Amino acid sequence: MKILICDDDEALVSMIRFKLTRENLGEIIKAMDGREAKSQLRENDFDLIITDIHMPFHSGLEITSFIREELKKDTPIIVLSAEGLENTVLQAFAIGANDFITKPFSPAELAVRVKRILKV
Amino acid sequence: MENMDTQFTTMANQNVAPRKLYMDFDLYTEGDTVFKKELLTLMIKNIQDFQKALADVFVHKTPEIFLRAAHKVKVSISMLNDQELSETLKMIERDIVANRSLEHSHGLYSDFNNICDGIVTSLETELNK
Repeated sequence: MKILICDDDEALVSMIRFKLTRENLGEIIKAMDGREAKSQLRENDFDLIITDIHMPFHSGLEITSFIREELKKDTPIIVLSAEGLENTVLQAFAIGANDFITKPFSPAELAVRVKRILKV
Repeated sequence: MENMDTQFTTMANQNVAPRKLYMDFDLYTEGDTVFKKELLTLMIKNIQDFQKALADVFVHKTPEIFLRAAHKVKVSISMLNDQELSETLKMIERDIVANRSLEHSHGLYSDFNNICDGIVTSLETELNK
């Protein structure tokens, strides 16, 4: 299984990668900005995308739209945001996100949501 | 007032007393000492980058850079679980979003930097355990 994490906060990426690896959820690839994310998405197939909304170059919403509309993939997408504003949540789901988690979150919560989406 | 820029361009003061840490390390590291070192190193970097962004607001008047940096440091701040730090940051953000005079909030920014310096000192101690 391959999971892409898109976020410019290295501490958070490190925490997510650590937890998901501990849970034996496969190979974890990171992208530190929207440009890197698009590059990874063009070149690789992933089983799950976890993306922050606010990132340099392309936002998580743009990445979500890119996956659904340009790449035409139905890969599950979890969107992360420090805001949790209703409009943002609704927009994420409207574009095609499968789940939305407001930061801060516990690693355990993320792991449960990932397992639920991946059905493992 | 002429000393404000100098104060805020100074990075972590080596003589700052360590601040009590409220972070639940095991919640994030599950007892893994190697990962703990990795995580703390990244958190220290996040905090220091944020302090620099805060200093830049005074020097270059760049609230946008500050707000982006504040977004990036939010998770590290929340993991620290330090209520005074979180509340002080919220007040600073409110000031900057409301475009209030920075000189007016000088004490607040000074407090915030002192808290950050104390936390960095403690995290560095934890890192070397």
